[in-house]
Parts: sequence; C-alpha cells; structure tokens
Amino acid sequence: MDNIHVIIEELKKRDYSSFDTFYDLTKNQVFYAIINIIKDHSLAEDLMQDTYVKFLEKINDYKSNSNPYAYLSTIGRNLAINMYNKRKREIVSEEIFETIAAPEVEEPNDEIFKILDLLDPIEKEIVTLHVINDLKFREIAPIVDKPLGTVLWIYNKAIKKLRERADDFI
Amino acid sequence: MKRKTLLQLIKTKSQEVEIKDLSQSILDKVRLLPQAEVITAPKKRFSYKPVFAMTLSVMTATLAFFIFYQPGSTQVPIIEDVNQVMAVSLVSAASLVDYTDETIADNDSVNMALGYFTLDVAEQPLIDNEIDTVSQYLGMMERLLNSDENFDYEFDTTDPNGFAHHLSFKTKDLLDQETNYTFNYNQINVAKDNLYTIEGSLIIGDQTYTITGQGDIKNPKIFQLRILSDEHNYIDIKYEISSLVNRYQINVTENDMLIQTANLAVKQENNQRSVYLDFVSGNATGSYMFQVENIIGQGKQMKISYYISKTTSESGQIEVQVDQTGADARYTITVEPKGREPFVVERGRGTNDTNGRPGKGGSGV
Repeated sequence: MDNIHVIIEELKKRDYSSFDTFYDLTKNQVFYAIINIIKDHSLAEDLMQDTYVKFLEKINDYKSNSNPYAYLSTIGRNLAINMYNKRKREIVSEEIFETIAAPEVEEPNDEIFKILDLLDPIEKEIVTLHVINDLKFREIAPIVDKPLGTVLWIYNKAIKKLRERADDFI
Repeated sequence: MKRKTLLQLIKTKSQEVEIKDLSQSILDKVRLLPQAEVITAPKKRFSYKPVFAMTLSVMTATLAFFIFYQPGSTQVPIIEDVNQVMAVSLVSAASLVDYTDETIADNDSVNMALGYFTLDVAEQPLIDNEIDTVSQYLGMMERLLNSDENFDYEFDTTDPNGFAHHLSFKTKDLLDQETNYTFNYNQINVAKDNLYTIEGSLIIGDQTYTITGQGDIKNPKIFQLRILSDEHNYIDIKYEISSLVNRYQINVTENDMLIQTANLAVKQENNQRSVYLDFVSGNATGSYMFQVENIIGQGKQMKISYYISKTTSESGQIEVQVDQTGADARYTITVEPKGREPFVVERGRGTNDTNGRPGKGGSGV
C-alpha cells in the first residue's frame, strides 16, 4: 500500500516514470469497476484509459490518505454509468428511427463473467468491489450510494446465491 | 461450495482475464492535455517582526499623505523643474512596462517550445523567494489602488490642539471598507538652511504614530518622512511628485539595519490606476505592477504583473483575492510564473483586529 502512495506523490509532481507500475497495481480494480456496467470488453478498455486520464488530470484533488483503488473504482464506475446511459439513449433513438442497427456488444467470454452473471447488477457490483477489488464494505457503501448495512445484506445474499448455484459454474 | 473456496475461485478467475497494458496510451493522452493548474500548499510560513508590520501598515497612510500633499506656504517645496521630474518618472514607469511586455513575449516562445506540458521543473520559480515580501505590500496596494483619487481629504488649520495643520483623509480597501486617518503636524521652517521640518502624529483608529519629516525648501526631491516604530526601527520615504506621476523611495530599517529599499510610483492612465513597485535591495529584487479589476460576480481583485531578473529572469502574473470566509479575511494569492506551474498561497490580511487600522498585509499565517 505504501508503494502506491509513493507513486501517487510522484504522479502529482508530473513524474510518470512509475506509471506503468501504478497501472499494473490498479488495472484490475478499474477494469472490473467498469466491466460490470459496460459488458463490452473493448469499450471497457477505452473507459479504462479515460479513467486514468481523468485521475491524472485531477490528481491534485486526490487526498493522500485516501484509498486509491476506491478512488479509481469510483471514477471508472461513474464513467461507465455515463457511457451506459449514453448508449441506452442511442439505442432507443435508433430503435425509434429504425435507421441504424443497434451496436453489437462484445460479451466477455471469460468464466468470471459467467459466475458474476448469476447475480443481479447491484449484487455483482458489490461482490466485484469487495472480492476482486479488495475494497472494504465501508468504502463500497459511498460508491454504490447505499448504507453500509444494505451493502452487507446484499453481499451476503449474493454469496449465498452463488454458493447455491455453484454447480452451474464449476 | 465453501464460502472461502467460492471467494478464492472468484479471485482466481478474475485474474485470468487479460487486461491490456494501456499505460503508454494513457500517458500519451495525458501529455496532450492542457496543463492543469497545480495547487500546492505554501512551502513556508512567513512571519515578520510585529514592529515591521506596524510600520508597513502606517506607510500606506503616509503615502496617501504624500500623494495629495499640497503645502500651503510659499516657503514649502515647489517643483522647480516639472519637465525633469516628469521625464525621469515616465522613463522609469515605461521601463517597468517594457520589462513586463518583453518578458511575456520571451516566455510565450518558450511555452510554445515546451508545448502544453512542462515536466520536471527542477528549480523553484524566482517568485517563490519574493512572494512573502510582496505580500507585505498588499494592504498598502489595496488602498492606493482602490481609494478615491484625492482620498477625500480635508485640510484644516483652525483646530488649536497643539498642531497647526490637520489633515484628514480616508482610504478604501478591496472590500470597499473605509479607514480614516488624521495627521496632525507642525511645520518649522529653517530659512537660513532652506530646510523645513515636520513633526506630528498620525491617528488611525485607536493608534497614534509619530511622524517626522524634513526637506529642502527649494528642492522637493530630498523631502523625507520617517515613520517611527522606535528609534531603531523605522521607515523612510523620499518622494518626487508632479501632476503626472508620484514616485517614492521606501527604505525600511530594522534594528538599525537598512533591510529593504524599493521604489514606488503611482500612475493614472486611461482611467486605470497602476502602482509600480520596484525592489532595489533586500530580500526581493523584482519589479511589480499592481492594478485592480472589478470582475462581475467575483468582486474586486488585484492583478499583478511581475518581472524578476537574477542569473535567470522570470515574469508572470499574480491574482490576489480577499477571502472573507472564516473569522479572518485572508488573501488567496494565485501565482502564475510564465512557463511554470501555477501555485496558490494564502496570507493573513490582518484587518479584523486592528480597530480600523489598515491591514498588515502579509502577516504570518
């Protein structure tokens, strides 16, 4: 954890020599914060880039004692939600005018998504943020804008659901 | 399936997903961004001696006195050679403007060479070493720039309270708050030496300050006022004055040592008042031009252009806003050195505990 904070301090000084390390340390968190909302793998990668660009652009807003994984997850999630809403509007618009086919979505084919797809969107997100992104529940609560108790309840419900359906993905 | 096993499975499977290395692409995009403003905390806290703060605060009032000082006796100084004073003053002011314009032009080309992005600026900007000194003068500049042209002065010689001359005037700061001053003094002419002296007291709020002055009856350029904090700490101001320019030399003496010399000029042009501050010796060496702008929705701000020349030169802009949030008003000073990253410092304004006295601009925070 200390290492990433050292790198962030360097990034604040516009020293990008360790950015690849920073990216390696955080890319999973950013990717999964996005991919659960935008299922398109290549679009998720575009949004990953936007997430890091935004992070670096506003890096002086980042408080040194914050959790960078939660911070990046929040940026990625917000960008993904914006993109999701934008695409939803585009698709609706296209359906109305019937001029352009709806864009095809490249569904991720990895096993992890088969597991996560057994869950509701909010369950999927909370499980992802906690299990994959290693965020604490109190860090997840503000991200998903739900009380801590609700987050815990949804998480336990989701894990119970996965355990019950383990045969589907083993 | 056990809970622990399930969680481990999710973790493992999540790591099997290939995520591209996008780091280079991200950095390429970041480098194309316009340079974002960098806000950094002030690196050092400035604290100068209270006695110095006091004398600086009083200096504003004395400068105000100089600006409209019109001696009533035929034996007091008159400007014998207006053209000479005007020429010297205009050259001085024009040189200061030229400095700024030239440097802006120079640094524009540097900026183009660097593109949007400046990396690894190893040396601190020159302004970093001067901003504390400059901030000491902000209270004075607020009043010199924002007060009425003649400071609404009233001159009275009828009040028999021990002083023959009574000068009342007032200044306005950036928040348009007024400060009232009363300068009571006697003038003694020493005809045989063509000298005169002034002794008096300046009253600002509940404070009284001792003022002494002397000058040559025939040569106003050597006229000098001394604002005494005590016999070891004082500020001397020499002045030249004409209908077109007012120029002063400020010498700050602390513990019997001359610690700072600066030239100051006030100029009114196209309904825009400018004050030029040119440090000659001491901690600062730069040249500064102060103006006030009234920005809709934000109120009055002070804009400063500066030029500092040492082994290297630097120019830039400074914006000063009065932040009224909190118990004490403070200055928020945004410094934008050309070709370098901007930074923001805060300084105490020191007007809330002075009973109407002018701010000790730049007092430590």
